[in-house]
Order: sequence, then C-alpha cells, then structure tokens
Amino acid sequence: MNDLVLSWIPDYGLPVLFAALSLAAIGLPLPGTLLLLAVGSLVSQGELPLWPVVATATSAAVLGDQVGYVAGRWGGERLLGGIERHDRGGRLAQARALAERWGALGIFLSRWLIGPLGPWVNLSSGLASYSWARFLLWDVAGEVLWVALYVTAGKVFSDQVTVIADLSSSLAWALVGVLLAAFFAWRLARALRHGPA
Amino acid sequence: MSSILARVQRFRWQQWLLVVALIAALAFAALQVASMVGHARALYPLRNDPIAPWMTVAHVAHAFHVPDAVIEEAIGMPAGSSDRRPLGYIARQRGETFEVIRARIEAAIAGATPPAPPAPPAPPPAPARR
Repeated sequence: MNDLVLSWIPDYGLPVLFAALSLAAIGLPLPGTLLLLAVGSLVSQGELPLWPVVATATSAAVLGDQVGYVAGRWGGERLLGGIERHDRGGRLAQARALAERWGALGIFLSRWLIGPLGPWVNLSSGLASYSWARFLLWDVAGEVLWVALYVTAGKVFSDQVTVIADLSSSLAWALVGVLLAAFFAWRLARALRHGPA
Repeated sequence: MSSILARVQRFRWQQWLLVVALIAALAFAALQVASMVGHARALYPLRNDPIAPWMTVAHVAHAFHVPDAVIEEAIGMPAGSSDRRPLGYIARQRGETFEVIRARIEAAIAGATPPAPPAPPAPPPAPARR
C-alpha cells in the first residue's frame, strides 16, 4: 500500500498528495509522514515546487481533521444523548471538562508529535463539543508544524526517507505507550490513595 | 508501606486489569524505543534507503550520488530521457520483475562509485608501563 501510494506521487503529484493526506487525517492507514518525507525529497531534486507542496499538504491534513471533528460532533450527538440519560455520576461532564482543560495541548501535539492519536483526538474533540474555532486554531498550528518539519527533513535526508519515516513512527508510538502508561499509573495511584472504587 | 500493601491486597479485578495494562503499555513503549535505536543506528554510518519500486530514476541517482545517466544506462533507457515513472512501473511495463531491475541498478551504482579508501594503518602498540 505504501509503495503504491508513493509510486503515484512522481506521476500525479499534488492531487495524490492531497487525497492521501486527507484520508490519513480521517484515520485511514496511509503513510502520511512517509509521504511528506518523500515529497520533501522530490522538492530537493526540483521535481515538485516547495510552497504548493506545503499549502496542499497542510490544507489536506486540516480538511481531514475537520471531517473527523464533524463526525464526532454531529454523529456522536445521538450516542451521547443516550449515554447522558443514564450517566448519573456525571462522567460525561467530567470528560467535557477534561477536554476543555487539555484539549488545546492534545490537539496540537497529536498533529505532529503523537500522530497515531490524531484521528481519535479529532473524533473525541467533536464528541466533547470542544469549541470548533479553538479546534481549528490548534489544528492549523500543529499541521503547519508537521508539514514544515517533515518536508524539511525529506529535503535534508533525501537519500534516507524510509529510515527517517521508521524512526519518527517508532518515536510517536513510544510516546503513545508512555502516555498510556502514565494514564494507567495515575489511575492506580488514585486507587491506592482512596482505596479500590 | 504496610498500608499500601494492605490496599493492594484489597484490589479488585478492575485494579489488577490496570496493573496488567500498565505493564503492557511500558513493554510496548520499551519495544518502540528499541526499534527507534535500531533505526537511528541505520543513519550513522550513512546508509542509503534500499531501492524501492516507488523510486524514480532521478531519486535513485540523487540518493546514491551518481549521475542520472548511470541509472538510465543500467535499465536500458536513453541518457537524459528524464523519465519520471517509478521503477516498479517501468519494470511492469517491460514484463520484468522489479528485483531484476534493482539488481542491475545496484551493479551499475557499485561500478560507478569509487571504492572506499583503505583503512589507515593501526597505531603501533603502546610501550608497556613499568
């Protein structure tokens, strides 16, 4: 799959980049980071123009993220309506408060540092009714950074794009593991402090 | 300390599930870090990406620091043809396997790249201390 999408880039250029990055942002298993590195390499060889690449990649990623947010916000309303009726402990309100408190950081970091969480953060931001204006602001900021970072890396390491893509993927998943471990440790610490619920 | 142990002994299955999840998450993170180290070691000393079907003639020439003509000649294309098709596509069009094309390109790159300079002589052994 990776090879197939990558092989379309030299021939079809920006339209393929746009389609692939939008679908990757929605959550389809497409190699977004590897694509950015590959187009960075093509930019360094003069095969693709830099600024149209940056504009296309950023707008594609932002568009895909908005689709995820909208799906969570409007598709999740019915689901949440059902949960809210049975939610006596106010867990949903807690989740919304958590989104308000940590949402901006989560959205920003999941664009460029912990990419595997990106589609889930889009959906959960919509589900938690996080402000769309603020979602868009942090989304654009994070995606601009992601695109700039990896297109530049592709230009600099143009002969080692697959190694850099593997490295960044392992880093992102390691961070996901650390975040999950921190969450479980926090829940355990609470159980130890207050006794099992 | 003893009160913590007492609380651990009162854990229900939900808390033990959290313990298992915590260990699994830490093991997963450790595996990813090990994989990261492996990838980072591939960067130094400089090692090129293996030639893949999505790469073009220009990409391979750029990555291996040889003129485009070396790659073009290896796959039987006229020099300066500036063909932007991926190598996998070129192989399919010719009814060849990609591996055959890759082997020809690798041989051509090896022929075009000057051999590495011989390693410097080892320093003489240090005199024994008294």
